[in-house]
Amino acid sequence: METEKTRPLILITDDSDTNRMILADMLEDDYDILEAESGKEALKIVNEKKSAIDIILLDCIMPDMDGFDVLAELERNWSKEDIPVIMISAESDQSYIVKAYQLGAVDYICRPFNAVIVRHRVDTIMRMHLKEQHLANVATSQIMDKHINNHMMINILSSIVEFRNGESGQHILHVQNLTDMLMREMLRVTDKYPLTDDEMSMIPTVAALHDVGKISIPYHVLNKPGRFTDEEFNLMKTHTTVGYDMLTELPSYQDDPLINMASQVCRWHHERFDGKGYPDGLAGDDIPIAAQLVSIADVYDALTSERCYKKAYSHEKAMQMINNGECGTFNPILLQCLNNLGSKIPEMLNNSSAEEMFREDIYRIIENTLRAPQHHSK
Amino acid sequence: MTIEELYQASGNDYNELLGRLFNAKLIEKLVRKYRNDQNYQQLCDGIAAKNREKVFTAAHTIKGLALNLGFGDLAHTASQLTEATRNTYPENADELFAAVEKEQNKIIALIEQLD
Repeated sequence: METEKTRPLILITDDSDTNRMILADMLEDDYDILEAESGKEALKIVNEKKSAIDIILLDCIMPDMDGFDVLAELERNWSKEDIPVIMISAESDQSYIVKAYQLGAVDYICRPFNAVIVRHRVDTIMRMHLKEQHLANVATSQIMDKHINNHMMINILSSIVEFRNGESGQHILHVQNLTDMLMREMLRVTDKYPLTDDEMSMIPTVAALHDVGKISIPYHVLNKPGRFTDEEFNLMKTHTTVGYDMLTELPSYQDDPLINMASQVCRWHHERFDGKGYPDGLAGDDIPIAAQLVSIADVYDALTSERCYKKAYSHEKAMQMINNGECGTFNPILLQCLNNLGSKIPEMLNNSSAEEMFREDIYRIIENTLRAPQHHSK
Repeated sequence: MTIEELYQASGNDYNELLGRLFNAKLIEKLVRKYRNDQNYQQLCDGIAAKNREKVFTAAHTIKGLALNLGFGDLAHTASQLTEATRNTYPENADELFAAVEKEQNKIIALIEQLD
């Protein structure tokens, strides 16, 4: 059924077959034509063909479901497909034309048809529509590339740091995935911490950078198998502020929201909800929500992974330790989220659904960005 | 009778129509097809039942068809019936319908005389 598309496709909707024949005759030299004899049939065809349809020609006055009903239905259910609609009618009453425009029609052609006029208007709208589609595709792939490249570069950088820390590269993936899962669970259970689409896509990405400051910690301290001396521990703690300083001092990215959020996560992912964390002793929601999310994910993965100074704890043991406050106090809402995820965590830590969700988020952002300016009149 | 003669006999301008649609074959095909068009029957049914919506829709479609086919008087009378039934069912509906009927019969009679 799906053949390579060479000619644009027009859906002619008119209850009169004579009118459909006239329009088809005018347009069939340059376009492929589909015909619908009622509003209902038109919507059925749109449902099947979706954005394969390039333009809809739509009669105003039809029995049962008229053209305005069809327009409203298209706007309600198919606005995403963005198919331009040209209304056609013997109705020259201006209120009809205005109503058609308000409901989203791009043009209105009155009978009697003149082949030159119909062709010209259809050609013009078709050209604009195809150009817009092309530009949207170009923009989408560029934005997508940019996001993927960002994501990839961040992951490479953070993996290098993790490698030096003697931690497996898996730690990055785990912290990202668990941060992502906790964030989605949090959005599900509460509206206390609303996030924009942009923030939702940034939080798991910047989670990867939480430990970049460790690049400044001497190797022998970083990988010391036994207990730290006080001096060593104090040095170790500086990875938070060092990471923050590294990112906030990047000369070209002072106002970049991603860098901004990453710097917060670096600095405050060891803060605790009761104010007993470091480096600043922030408490409660003075700690940015991104850092709160990452701190739980970081602690969970640290507990369940083997490190040079400890063995890996089981999921159950780690959950117990976190709930008992053995790793400090966390936001009760986020603890609840962690417990809600519960036994699903171990298997989900390694799967790539977070990556897929990340892509879906990006597609949604792109779609919103591209569509935003078109609704200024609403 | 040829198509051109039909337009002349009905007081309409064939050349204007050809200038719009550019396709003599299509015009002839559509004119012949108009004989079997169901909208007029719909209109008659609507009038018989005094159904405003049905009369309006059918009259509106006939108006559009007549405009497209260049049947001026039919388009005009159908348009008057369309406007009159746009919101309410008027007292003079039968009278307005009679005017449409006259033009419709005239056109159908001429189509039947086509070669």
